[in-house]
Amino acid sequence: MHTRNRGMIIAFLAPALLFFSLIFLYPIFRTALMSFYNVENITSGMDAWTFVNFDNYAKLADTSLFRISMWNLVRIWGVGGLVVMTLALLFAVILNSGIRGKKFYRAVIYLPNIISAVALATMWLQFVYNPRFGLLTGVFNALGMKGMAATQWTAAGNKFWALTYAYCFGMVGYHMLIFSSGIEKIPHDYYEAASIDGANILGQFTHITLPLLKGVIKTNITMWSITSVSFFTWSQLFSTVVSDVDTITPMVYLYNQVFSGGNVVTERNAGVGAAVGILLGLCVVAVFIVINLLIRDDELEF
Amino acid sequence: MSNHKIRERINWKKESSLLPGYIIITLWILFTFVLIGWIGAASLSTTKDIFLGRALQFPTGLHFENYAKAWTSQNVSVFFTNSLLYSIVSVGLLVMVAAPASYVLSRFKFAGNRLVQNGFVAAMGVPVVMIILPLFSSVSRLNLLTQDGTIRLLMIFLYVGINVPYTTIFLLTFFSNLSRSYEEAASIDGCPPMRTFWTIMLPLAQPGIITVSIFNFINIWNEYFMSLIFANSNATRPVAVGLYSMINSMKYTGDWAGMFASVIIVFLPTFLLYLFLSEKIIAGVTGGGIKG
Amino acid sequence: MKKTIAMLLALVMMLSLASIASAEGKTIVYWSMWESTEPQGIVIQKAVDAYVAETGNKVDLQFKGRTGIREGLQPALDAGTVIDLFDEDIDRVNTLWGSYILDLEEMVKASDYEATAIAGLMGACREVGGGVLKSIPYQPNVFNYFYNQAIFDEAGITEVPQTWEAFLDACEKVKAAGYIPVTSDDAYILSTLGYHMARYLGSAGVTKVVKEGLWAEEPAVLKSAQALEDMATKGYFSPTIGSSVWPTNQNGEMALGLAGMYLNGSWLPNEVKAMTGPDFVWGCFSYPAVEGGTVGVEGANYGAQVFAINNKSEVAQEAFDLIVKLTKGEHDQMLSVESVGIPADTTNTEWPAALAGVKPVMDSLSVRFPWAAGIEDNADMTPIIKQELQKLCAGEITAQQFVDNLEAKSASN
Repeated sequence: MHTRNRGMIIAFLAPALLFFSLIFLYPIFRTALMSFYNVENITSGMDAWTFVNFDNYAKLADTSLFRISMWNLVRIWGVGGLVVMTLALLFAVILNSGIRGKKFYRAVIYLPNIISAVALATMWLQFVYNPRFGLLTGVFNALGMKGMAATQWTAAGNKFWALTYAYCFGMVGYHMLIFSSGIEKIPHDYYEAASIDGANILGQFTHITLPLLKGVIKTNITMWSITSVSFFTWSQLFSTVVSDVDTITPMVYLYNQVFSGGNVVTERNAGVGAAVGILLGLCVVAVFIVINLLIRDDELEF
Repeated sequence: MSNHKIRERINWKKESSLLPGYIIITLWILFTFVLIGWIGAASLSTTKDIFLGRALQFPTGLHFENYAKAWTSQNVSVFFTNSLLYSIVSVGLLVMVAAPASYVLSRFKFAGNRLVQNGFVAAMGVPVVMIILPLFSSVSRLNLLTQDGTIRLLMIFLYVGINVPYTTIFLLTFFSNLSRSYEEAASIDGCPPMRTFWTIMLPLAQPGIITVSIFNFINIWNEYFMSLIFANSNATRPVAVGLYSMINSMKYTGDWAGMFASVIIVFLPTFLLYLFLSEKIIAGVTGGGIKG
Repeated sequence: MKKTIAMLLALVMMLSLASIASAEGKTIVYWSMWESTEPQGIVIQKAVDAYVAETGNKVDLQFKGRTGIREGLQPALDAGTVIDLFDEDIDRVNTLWGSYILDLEEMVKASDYEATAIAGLMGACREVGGGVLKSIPYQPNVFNYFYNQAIFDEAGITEVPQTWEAFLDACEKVKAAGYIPVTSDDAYILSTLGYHMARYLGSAGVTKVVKEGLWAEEPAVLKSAQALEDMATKGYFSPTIGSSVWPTNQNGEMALGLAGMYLNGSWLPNEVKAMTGPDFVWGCFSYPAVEGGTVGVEGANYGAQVFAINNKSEVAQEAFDLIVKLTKGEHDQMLSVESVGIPADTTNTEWPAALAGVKPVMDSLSVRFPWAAGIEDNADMTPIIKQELQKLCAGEITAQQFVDNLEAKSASN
């Protein structure tokens, strides 16, 4: 039996492993290697690389623009994550509280997630935040809040939050669904027993829902971390020509560094780009370790 | 479940206790409707009216020519075809590659099984920046980016490769939930294990395969970063990059109405798909939700 | 399921082969910086069609737009994608992509191209090309203050400002007439600072400041910042100057006739002509001279878009012939008329009416600044300078804070 299965195991696993090695293993190894070299032209072979030890990392640590981009990413992950998780959980609880039209509400809340980020970001930047005909200006004017209506949503300092909230809007639906499916799996009699014991809605939430959602919360944080680390498209769309302190993320920095996306010529070094990639990879690993320490749960739940 | 009861008679006391919840989610979806509705209205207005805040009044009637202009500004049909090609072929190949792997990982004990599973889970967390530079370097040294045909094959290869770990892990639960009695019966009938998989087990895992495929489809359809780098020639670019250039095209000509029309053009196909498949798509996100 | 997949795969293979097979006759691949909907794009398409009809060669014309070229050309060139001909700004083409482009001296000599080309621009191309002509200029442009003549008339400004005092005076008059004196968008705002500093230091001095981080050491920085702070305090800048993402103010304030002046390129009238209509009268003046400055109104960023040929191209001569088609005679004239641009062929002497005000300014320039007078020359600093400048112009920080912030943020560079 075992010898017969061996051929099948190999045959069935080989294609997936081949893709895995070509797309993940080899490139990760090479990126790590590249980050210790000065690589002027990304297409050049290893013989054209110059070993520079940790210089690329030192350069990144020294560049305030890169530090800003990392800080932006941390804030998007942290603050944005808090906003998204809170709203997603709130909506999931509401949807499962026995309201009518659950399917309809759920479908509409999830809708933004399937829209191309390019389209969604354009809607926000060009309509919601527009100081002249924008939605926010219009709503605050209608409410008679002239001060708020005159706010420059995309001014330096505000633009980061404008970007973050717009991004959150697009992401809430996805995490709401994951929470929702978790809540659906909680047996209904738990709540009935609790209400007999006199627990109110809040008590039921903190004593039953939240503890039983541990695995789902872990999944959500993991997925959120994975998607936010590659934050790129939204930044590109929120700063049209010159990259912007408020919107730059490490991925944008890398893109400018390696592919000269900026306005003027600078020295190109793909090694620095590789170092950015490695740093981001390490961040993800660090987040995973912390999550695993905080929330002990065997499997990710989907 | 409790829906049946409610439908019979409205329990006003219960409904009123749910009122805050209704208000919150109604406001949220109202915002979504206003957002998309206004863009739709603006796409039929004129740039001047938009800037004068009269986008909803249509003082000069409906301007469907915005759509004509947006459509001809780029070869829209080409990048729709490309996206369709990339997503459908990749999704199909993903099933062929990931389902067998997932099956043996869930069914057989062998050295390295746990390692492979952990490797795939870890790969799901690898940011694309960690792999993009060597990939770009290799494919350009192999001269793969010089012909439209090879670019198309490359894009499919990349989309498949990037999504193999996720798809495999997603399908694990489906295969492990299938009863072993199917294989035992097939084995008694003399059916070899490989054929058992293709003819019996794969069809049984169909619900999982459909949901993960829809999900993969949407992801690949909307993908932006890799196609920006690898598939930027007009003949090979997919929807996301195409829309980006349509939007820019409209900005440079100061044509806001046309820009919003471009947004709607790209939004509509996914939206229509969503109208029909929203339950399936939602199930795709929460894969575990339908396994029981 | 298997069958469908097999059919799809066959389809991919066919598509792939189809695109490889079409290689008869010579094909020039041209990545254009324009969009097909823009007037430039429309005229270029016509010129290309004419070229194809005459020669029987094929042209694969791909409209990429500025963003598309800036973000996509470099990876494509690195990857060896077949691109024979491309165009972009003179500085970007010659410096950023200088190592990818072909020396055109011999082809130019053989066709006596320079007899009817603008000598100054050909010279500029050689200068940025390191002494060798590697690009052909067209659509000459100048980057300076553009103004709305109707607003100037209403405000009673009869003469364009030449000095900083006269400029502030003009701002005051425009403000008194009820308009926004000066507007800008995030894409162009850096030029305001670059130009002002370059009036004191020349553009090389500006580059030195941004590259070496001499924000506090160089007194001209504080002086320039104070001038802009002064404008902010007096309310001469648009209230949305700190927040507008291009082209919000270009369309919403300048084109709608709410703002008087905008430091922008001579492409501006064309970009907004759908909103301004044909009756809008444009004026132009050079960035005013400052007291104690070293460069006066004779200095500005001027140049052109340029064509360049990939040095790996196998159809270089054909590509050059196409350039000639695009930049000489009939099509150059058409391009000038349709895109409200300046003709590149000196035998096309008629300028579009909207640019009538630009000609004297263009003729008066003798010192050439690079893009934004060098203020964007340190890519690691550009976004930071931009943000601080937006705050300064919006009146959120003082000139001293501006200098301190930049000094602090560039300390480690």
